[in-house]
Amino acid sequence: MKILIIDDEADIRQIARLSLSRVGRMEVVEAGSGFEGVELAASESPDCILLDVMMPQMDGPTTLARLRSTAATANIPVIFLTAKAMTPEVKGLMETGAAGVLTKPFDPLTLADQVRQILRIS
Amino acid sequence: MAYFDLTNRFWTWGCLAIAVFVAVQAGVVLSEVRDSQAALRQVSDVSSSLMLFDRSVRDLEQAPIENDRDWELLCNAAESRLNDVSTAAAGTGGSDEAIAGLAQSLASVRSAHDGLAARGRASSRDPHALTGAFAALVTAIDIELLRIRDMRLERLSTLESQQRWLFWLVLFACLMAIAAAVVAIRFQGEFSDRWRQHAATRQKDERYRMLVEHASDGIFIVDRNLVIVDANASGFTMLGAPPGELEGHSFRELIVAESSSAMLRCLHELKVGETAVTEGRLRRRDRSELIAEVSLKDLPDGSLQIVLRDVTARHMAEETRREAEETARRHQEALLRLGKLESHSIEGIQAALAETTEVVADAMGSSRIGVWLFDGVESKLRCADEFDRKARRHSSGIELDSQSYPDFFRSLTSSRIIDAHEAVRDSRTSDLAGSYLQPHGIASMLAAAVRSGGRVLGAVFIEHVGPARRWKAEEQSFASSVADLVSLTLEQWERIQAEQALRLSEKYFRSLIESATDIITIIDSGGLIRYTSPSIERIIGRTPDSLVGQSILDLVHDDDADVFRSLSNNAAASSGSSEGFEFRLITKSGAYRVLDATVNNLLDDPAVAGIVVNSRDITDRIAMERELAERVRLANFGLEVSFALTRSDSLATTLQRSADAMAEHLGGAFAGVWMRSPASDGILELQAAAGTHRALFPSQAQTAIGKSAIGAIAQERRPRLVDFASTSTSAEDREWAGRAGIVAFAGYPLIVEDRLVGVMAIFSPTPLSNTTLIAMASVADELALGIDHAHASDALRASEVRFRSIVTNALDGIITLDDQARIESYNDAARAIFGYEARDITGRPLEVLIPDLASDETVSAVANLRERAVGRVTEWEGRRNDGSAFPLEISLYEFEIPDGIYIAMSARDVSERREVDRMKSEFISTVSHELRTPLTSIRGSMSLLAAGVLGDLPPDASDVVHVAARNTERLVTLINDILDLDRLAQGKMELVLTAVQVNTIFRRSVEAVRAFAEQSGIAIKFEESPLRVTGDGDRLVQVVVNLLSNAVKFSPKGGAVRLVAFETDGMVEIQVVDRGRGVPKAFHETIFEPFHQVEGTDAREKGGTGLGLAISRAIIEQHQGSVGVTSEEGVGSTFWFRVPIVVDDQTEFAIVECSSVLVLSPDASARATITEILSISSLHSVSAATVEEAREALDQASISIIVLDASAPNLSAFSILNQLRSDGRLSSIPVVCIDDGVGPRLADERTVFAAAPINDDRLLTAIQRASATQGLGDILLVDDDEALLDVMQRQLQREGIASRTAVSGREALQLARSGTPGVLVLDIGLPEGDGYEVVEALRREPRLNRIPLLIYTGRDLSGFERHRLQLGPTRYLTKSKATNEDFRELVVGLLHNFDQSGTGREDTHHR
Repeated sequence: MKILIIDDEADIRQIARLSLSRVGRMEVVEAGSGFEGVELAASESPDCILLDVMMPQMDGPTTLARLRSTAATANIPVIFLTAKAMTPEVKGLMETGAAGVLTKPFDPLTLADQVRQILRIS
Repeated sequence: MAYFDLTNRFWTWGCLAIAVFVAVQAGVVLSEVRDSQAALRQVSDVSSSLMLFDRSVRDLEQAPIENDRDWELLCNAAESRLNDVSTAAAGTGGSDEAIAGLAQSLASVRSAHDGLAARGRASSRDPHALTGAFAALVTAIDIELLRIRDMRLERLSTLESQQRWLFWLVLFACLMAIAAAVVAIRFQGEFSDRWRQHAATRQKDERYRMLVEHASDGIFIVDRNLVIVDANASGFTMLGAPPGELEGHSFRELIVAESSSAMLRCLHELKVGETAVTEGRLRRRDRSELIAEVSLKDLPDGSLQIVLRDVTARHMAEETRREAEETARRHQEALLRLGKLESHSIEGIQAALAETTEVVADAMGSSRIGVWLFDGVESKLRCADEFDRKARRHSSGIELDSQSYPDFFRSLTSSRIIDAHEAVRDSRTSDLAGSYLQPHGIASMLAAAVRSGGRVLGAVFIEHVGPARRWKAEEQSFASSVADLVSLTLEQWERIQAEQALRLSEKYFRSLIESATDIITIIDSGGLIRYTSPSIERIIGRTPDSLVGQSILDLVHDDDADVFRSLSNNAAASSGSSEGFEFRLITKSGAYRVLDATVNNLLDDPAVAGIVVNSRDITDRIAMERELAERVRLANFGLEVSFALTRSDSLATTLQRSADAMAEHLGGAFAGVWMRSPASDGILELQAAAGTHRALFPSQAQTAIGKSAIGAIAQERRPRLVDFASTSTSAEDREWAGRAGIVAFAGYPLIVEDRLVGVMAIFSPTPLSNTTLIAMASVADELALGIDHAHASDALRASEVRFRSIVTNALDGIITLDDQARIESYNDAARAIFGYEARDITGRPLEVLIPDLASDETVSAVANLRERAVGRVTEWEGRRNDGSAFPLEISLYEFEIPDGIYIAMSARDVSERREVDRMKSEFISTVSHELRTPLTSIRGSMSLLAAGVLGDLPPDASDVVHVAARNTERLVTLINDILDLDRLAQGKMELVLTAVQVNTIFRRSVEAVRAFAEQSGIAIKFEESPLRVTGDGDRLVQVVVNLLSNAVKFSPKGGAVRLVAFETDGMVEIQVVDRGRGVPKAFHETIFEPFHQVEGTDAREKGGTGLGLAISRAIIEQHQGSVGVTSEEGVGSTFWFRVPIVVDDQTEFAIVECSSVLVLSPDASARATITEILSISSLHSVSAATVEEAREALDQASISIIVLDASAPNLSAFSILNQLRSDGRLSSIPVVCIDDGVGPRLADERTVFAAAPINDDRLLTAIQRASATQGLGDILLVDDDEALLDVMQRQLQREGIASRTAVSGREALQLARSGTPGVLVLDIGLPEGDGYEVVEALRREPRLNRIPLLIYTGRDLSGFERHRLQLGPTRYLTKSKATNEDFRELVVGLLHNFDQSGTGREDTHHR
């Protein structure tokens, strides 16, 4: 299973990569910005995208919209990763058409499981 | 000048108009001339054409005609000429008959020519015949032409002459216009100046008009005949007439007759331009009178300006004051006059009494005054003199006896004065009603007892005939002064009468010698006493024997010795009796007695041979007379004090006047008034002092109550008269008095209703008698009352000032409203908030400041406020005077004062608070993100390291990493808790309220702490509970987990923690019971505060953030519940909380008869599964195994939906559906069909298929979809206000949306069931089941439980109330704050939303 992480924080990307690859045995591709993420999504065709919400220049929802507007990436499930944990915000993110929302700080030991759960893959 | 303008303009424009008119005329003439000239030219053209034609005819005649062609050529030439003629003739203008004739002639020529041409072709070519015919015709045409030309020429000459005239006229008019224009331009500058001046004047006039209109004085303009031409508003108001009504009336009519002459005279003498001011009475419309200061001014235009200023109130005040002064003066004069009355004889006393009654009657203005005296014993009163003021007649002799009038006599003897306002009814005088008062028509009576030495001698009756009258204090005091004077008069008279009686009797002569009071002394020429009568012993205390032989000079006062010396010296010369004189005799004790003596020189009489001095002791009489004078003085004193009190001066002035009066009339060297000190209770303070010894006490001197003479009076509350010479005073006092030259002291307490207000006192260098105390007594009450009143009004004023300053300086805006909800007062803070000046905003409605508080026409402004804002704190949008809006928190309250009911508003600008809230929220949100991002990295790193994902670590490193990881977790929890608490504090945490099984809460909570508990070796036990609570399951679990982890943390290893739930007072109480160390009582409250743990070290030792209990409390409070702890140290704790219970459906919502879901399945276990799913969602269901059973079920319950389980093997959904649809009653019910999705499906719009195996989500969604198939998709409007329903319905009609209406909860449910509405608009306050009940009922209806809902109510809803009111997608709209557009938008949005996304989107709102 191939997963694309889009986050502007290299540290977070690294933790998530370690967690998903070591614990979850997934193939991980990283992107440091929304632009890069959109490109990688098209070229790498991941099974799932882990998308940070607050990023400079192009934020999560915009990136998601960009992904949805391209046929090749339109159907890739996207899970938001956000530090804003308040209910209305999570609700708002769900309404943009994401498959799920995970809040920071995430538990690296269960991150992969959570992703699988959202994607209904056992 | 204006006239000139106008005339000049008129001339300019007039001349120009004439010039234009003439020019137009000239143009017409000119064009006609041109026409005529053209016509003439045409005529000459025709003539020339005719000549050519003639020539061509002649040519024809002469031409050799060889052949047909030549003829043809000739004919053609002739025809072409003819055509020319015709064309030319046509151009001559068709206005004349001549033209017609010409045309006719031409037609003849043409036909002739045509005929000729035809003939020519027929080879009869005789040109002569042709020319002959033509010649005649040409002649005829010529004649016609001539006629035309003549006519035209004639017309032309007329026109030309006209043209000349017109030319001159144009020229003239133009010249005139130019001349006028020049004048106009010359004056133009002046005009514009004048125009500006005119505008300025008008503006000024307008300002003056406003000034006049709003002046408080009434201003009238009248013409020479005093007819009112105009008046301002105050003028009308002043005269009580509606505006405009007085115009046309004569001003003379308004003047009251008495003052008309003065005013009219003033008018006559008025000179142009001058102002005369007079005062006069005017009559209002309602006939009442008005005293006005009238200023008259003759205006230059011949009219008069009359300015009225209402001075009625001032006049009345002056009148009252003058009256009081007048009364006091009259009384004073009367008393002075009465004091001088002599009464040495019977006639004298009668005359004195008669004069007394007369003087008193005139002074008091009373109808009857009588002096009544007791006839010896106090059982019969006899009228000594009665004066009828009206008839000016005296009478006497009537008697009243005490047996007939016991009450009256009792009152008379027991009180100083009887002031019977309504004598017939007054208990003291009602005795007299039948036999005395009514026969004489006496309405009010004032009786003052005449007393002497404790004995009542009689009374002075002051009677008033006519309407009852109240006796003023000064009148009462006057009456008692009169009574005192009468008593003095009587005493004096009695004494004189006794003297005279003696003198008149024979015995007098005998006792003259022996026992008479008079002393007969015989001295010889040397002044030695030869004889003196025994009565001398009584007077000077020495026996006559001891005196004989002594010189008289040794006995008399040194000052009087001369009289006796001269007596002896002149003894020989003057014989006979002498004039009487007074002298003083020294008594044995050294005192002097005054004697009145007459001397008889009987030296020549051998029988006597000496000078007989006949003397009488008049010491007592003199004392009596002195006392009388003193009493008059005292009466004056009383009057003066009363007078001081009636003047409305300040308290200090009143006290000073009283002290002055004491010093002057009571003979005090020092007179003072002490008052209780406002600062300390037991202290008296000197407030006013007067007299020569004013320095005796310093100003504001203080005396403790109980100390010194004054303090003693205050303590004992009894008057005191001290003679410093007597031994009763202390030596210290005596010494002090001696030093100060004081002999006596008199003091009187000032008491009001048992309260001591002060002490009045005088210190005198001469002895004082009881009369001083009496005088003081006569004013004490009055003075005390006066001080008390002044105190009270001072206190009131101070309190008013205090409150006013509080209001003025309050930080909140304070605004009071009148009964029309208009702004009445407005403090500084309000000005700072709203920006209006107080004078600009007072009198305007509140909605100027708060536009949303405007009321519609149906309710009064006040009722509107009462309903929407009074008695609570509400928030609105305020509007400043610059138009800007801001959030405003107001609280309105009603208060009642004697004036009426007012509404006051305290207002606070909360924009800053809102801004702070917003910033705080933003800050927390930011911090949360900023903290979480690095924490994610740290936590992730630590967690990966600790878990060994990145390879095994050395044991020490692993330990350290674990420590770091654990503390990272704590940090994360702490941040989450802080955020939670903040959200709870701000009410931002949205609760998703449902009915939650207590069991579920227990299981989930225990599950969450199981690992931790096992690790600590603690067992958690709980009992199954059937109860359900209303709440947010996740949040309640959070609370229980919190309490459980605390319990586990503080329980000893191997201990147990218990979870208990039970019902109490409509709530469910959940308890977490442990056997831990317990919570000290002092901490029972504080442990629920953030970061308050029993011991500061707990957080580090036991873990936890110190916020758990605070969060728990906040969550429970948001559930409208309560939380607490009971604990005993060392024994254990019980943490408990209560949340609202969910009561069984049937009992709580009795008004709802639930419609049910029919579960149709042949398989019992499938039926059970489906029924359970439905019951979890609180949907009622009935089961049926076959279609027959389904029919039976339908008989017993209302079925709104059928769930058909067709998933069982060997069952054809198709066939069962067919059966259902073919049954009449069942066919219309929506069906949810659960099938395997393999077999054929029946195409039916009321059937929704759901794939087996069924689960909650799929089933409920399908039910919703199925029920939507029956919906009408319209709007159901529910409100008990039918007018509002009408408005809402019309609003929706504009959007093309159909709606139904219901006015009660019951009707709403009926209508909703009869056809599912697209949106439900629901009010809360409804008859027969309110909004809450309707929502609860709908939640239980499978078809209706997800209808989009708009709560449209006048109430402000709390978060909890909002949760109770949720159905499908739910919106809330407050009536007062919503516009019609808001309403339409929301309804359309809800309808639209529902259409688009069905049920999926808002599901999170629901269960």
